[in-house]
Amino acid sequence: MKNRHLAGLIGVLIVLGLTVFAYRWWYLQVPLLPGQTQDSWTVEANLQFNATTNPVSAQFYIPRNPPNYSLLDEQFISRGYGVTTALENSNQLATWSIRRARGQQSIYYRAIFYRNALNQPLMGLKIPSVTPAQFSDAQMPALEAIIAQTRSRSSNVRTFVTEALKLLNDPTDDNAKLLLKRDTSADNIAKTAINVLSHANIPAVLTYSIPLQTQKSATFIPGLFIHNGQEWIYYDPLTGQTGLPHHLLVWYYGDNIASAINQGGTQMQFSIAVTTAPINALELVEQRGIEMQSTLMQFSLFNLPLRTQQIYLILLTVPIGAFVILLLRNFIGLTTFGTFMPVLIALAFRETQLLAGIFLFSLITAIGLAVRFYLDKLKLLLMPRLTAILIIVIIIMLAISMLSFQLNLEKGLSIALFPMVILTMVIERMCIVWDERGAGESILSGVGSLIAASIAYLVMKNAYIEYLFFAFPELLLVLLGIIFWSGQYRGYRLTELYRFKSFLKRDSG
Amino acid sequence: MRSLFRQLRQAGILGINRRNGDYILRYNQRRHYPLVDNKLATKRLATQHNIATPSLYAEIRSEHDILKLPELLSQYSAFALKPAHGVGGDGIVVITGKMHDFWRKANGSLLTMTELAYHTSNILSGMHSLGGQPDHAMIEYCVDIEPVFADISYYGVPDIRIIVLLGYPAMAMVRLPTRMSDGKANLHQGAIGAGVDLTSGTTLGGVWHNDTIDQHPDTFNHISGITITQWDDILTTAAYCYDITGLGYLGVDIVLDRHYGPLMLELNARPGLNIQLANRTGLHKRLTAIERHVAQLGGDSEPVATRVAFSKNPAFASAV
Repeated sequence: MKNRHLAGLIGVLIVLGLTVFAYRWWYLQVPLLPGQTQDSWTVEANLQFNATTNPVSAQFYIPRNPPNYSLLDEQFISRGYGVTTALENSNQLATWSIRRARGQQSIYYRAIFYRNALNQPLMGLKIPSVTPAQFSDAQMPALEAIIAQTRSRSSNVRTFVTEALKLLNDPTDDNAKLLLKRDTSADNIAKTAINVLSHANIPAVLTYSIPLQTQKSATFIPGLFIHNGQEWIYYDPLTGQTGLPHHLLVWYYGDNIASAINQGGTQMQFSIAVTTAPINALELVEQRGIEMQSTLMQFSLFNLPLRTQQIYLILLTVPIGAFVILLLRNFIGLTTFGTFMPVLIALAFRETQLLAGIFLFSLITAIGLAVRFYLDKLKLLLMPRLTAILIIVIIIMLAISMLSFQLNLEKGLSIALFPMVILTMVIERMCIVWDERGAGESILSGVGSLIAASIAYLVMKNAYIEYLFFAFPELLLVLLGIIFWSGQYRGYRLTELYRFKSFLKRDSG
Repeated sequence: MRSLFRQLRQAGILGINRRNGDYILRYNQRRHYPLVDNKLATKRLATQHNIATPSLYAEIRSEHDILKLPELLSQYSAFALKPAHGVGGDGIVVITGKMHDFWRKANGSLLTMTELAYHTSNILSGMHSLGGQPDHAMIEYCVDIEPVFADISYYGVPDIRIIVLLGYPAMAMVRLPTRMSDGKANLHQGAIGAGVDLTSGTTLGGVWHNDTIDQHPDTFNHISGITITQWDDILTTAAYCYDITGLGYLGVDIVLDRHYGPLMLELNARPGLNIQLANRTGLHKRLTAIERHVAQLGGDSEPVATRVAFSKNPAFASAV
């Protein structure tokens, strides 16, 4: 009964921890590794024109909720223009206006996009009402022939569109030639396809995308979004392939031109430049949390002030260190001074590094022990004796710091970070054990503590583990579950094999 | 490695993790601990229930009391000075005689009054106590060694350690002081542990520092085959200690005094596992046998005599 209770608790902790972990890793895409970067695309739309009369007003579309990409940052750059953005049909239209302007004008829109792996459904594109397009009398038989042929070869909207595009792209098909009027550009095929589909009562929207690859001037690539009653499906008008290619950033919908001068300008030139740069994946994560309004992300440690973050970066490694000590003590059977003393020594090792840390620790303990044995002769009471050892430990630390500074040994300075109260207690405990159980046992425990501290240090300073627990503090729940589980371990410790070796058979020992 | 663990399991060896988890945590409630962690409380409790203990000469509760130490001790020539909350025999000083201004320790070395007072002060400050909390010192009767053991101990008093589960003696050993153990009876300090046959109270072979040994290293006398006198009384006392403390998993330390017979020295709520080495057999299988027996009784409890009889029965003591 009790065991089932504990097993349930362990299960809940581990499942909860892993669920939150999975959500943040997989859905919010918190990177698993520190310093992981992701490509981001800086897209710069530039509208140039010559201002002739006042006032001046110009406009162009800017991307709005493009599928597969998320906006990290956007800026509107111009000299003295006022900017407004407004929703026009399914598009975002930015309008620049200024009362007085003369000569060459240049206005910029710069946005940083990054790829999200969510494959979210197309958002914000309204389904247009379908009205049959006008065709000339000469074209009508061709249209009807194409629709009849397409219908016979297809079973649903998806295949209907594929077949229609296949026909329109067939250079030998006379009906297609008639409808296209010899213009076989992707743009024209797409527009014609929309008109053809309107007669089959299929809603279709023309869309213009830019390919995200480093370039000075991107050209718009036309595409079709077809609604099959449930969802939007992207079609490449030339190949008939479905699915929006991953490198395409949808810029706007509809058959308008992307930019326009409303008044006061001539010689308009519109260009879009694309550059790529790696950005820290963590920045993306933060942005993402805000964007998705995820409460889980708001509770991320990354939102804390930087100083506090740095403290937690270290503090969160303490449970790992404690877990390592647990393993060493309960499963291996290592004896140490104090339960968690090695964790604190390991924290000090962070600053001194391992070898210097072990050397300094041994040095202080050795000198401290010598002093402690001398103090024994003075017959002091416990508290005064402990205080005296504490002061002597600090004096030793001071001396080592000053000496190493004179010798230009940087490492020696970091000794100041050793937990001196802990050192004092270690020295006192070592001395008592020395007196009562002999030097051997005392040194054994001392070395055991040092080994435990070193192992804990090696695990705790591991950049991956440090980052992992900082980015995913919910892993502490998993750790807690594992610790609850290990609390049930009733098996032998490794060192008990040695202790009870007389019970082992000679031949296999 | 797995096969090594399996060998230990098959031998019925009790490991620390299982002792802590399945026995101490399960059968020993924390609130009962003060009764055994404080030797003064244990002594008081035992006296209430007519269990013989070494008589208490004095309690030292404060630094101020230490000043009265010379006067307190003037009437005694042998005594034991102990911390009330001592762990594993630490901090115990056994004085066997007085020589001018010096006290003679069990191992023959001499102590001045100042050194004795300093040691007492250390005891009070908690140097030898569990967790280092301030402590009391106690001065009690120094046990006069029973002749049975005289040949196989060196400057010190051997004691009998009995592990009692739910009032049933499970395993016993005698701990014999050596020169190395400084007259103390703790195995990790260098004392010899010798297993005791529960049925007869006869010593089996010994173990010294994890090695089996048949002769005492200081007296060269044979350790095994010595029959402990008043064995039934000893087992009964041990079994009864469960009833008075309520601790299901208990280590009872008993000494045999030449004049007073078995005296209960102290109780231990976390008895060590070396008794298995001394008996060359695993404790776990005996503990499970007792648990099985208790489960069969189903809630009824047996009187002390029946429980002792159960443990003495060769079916338990030798077969398991």
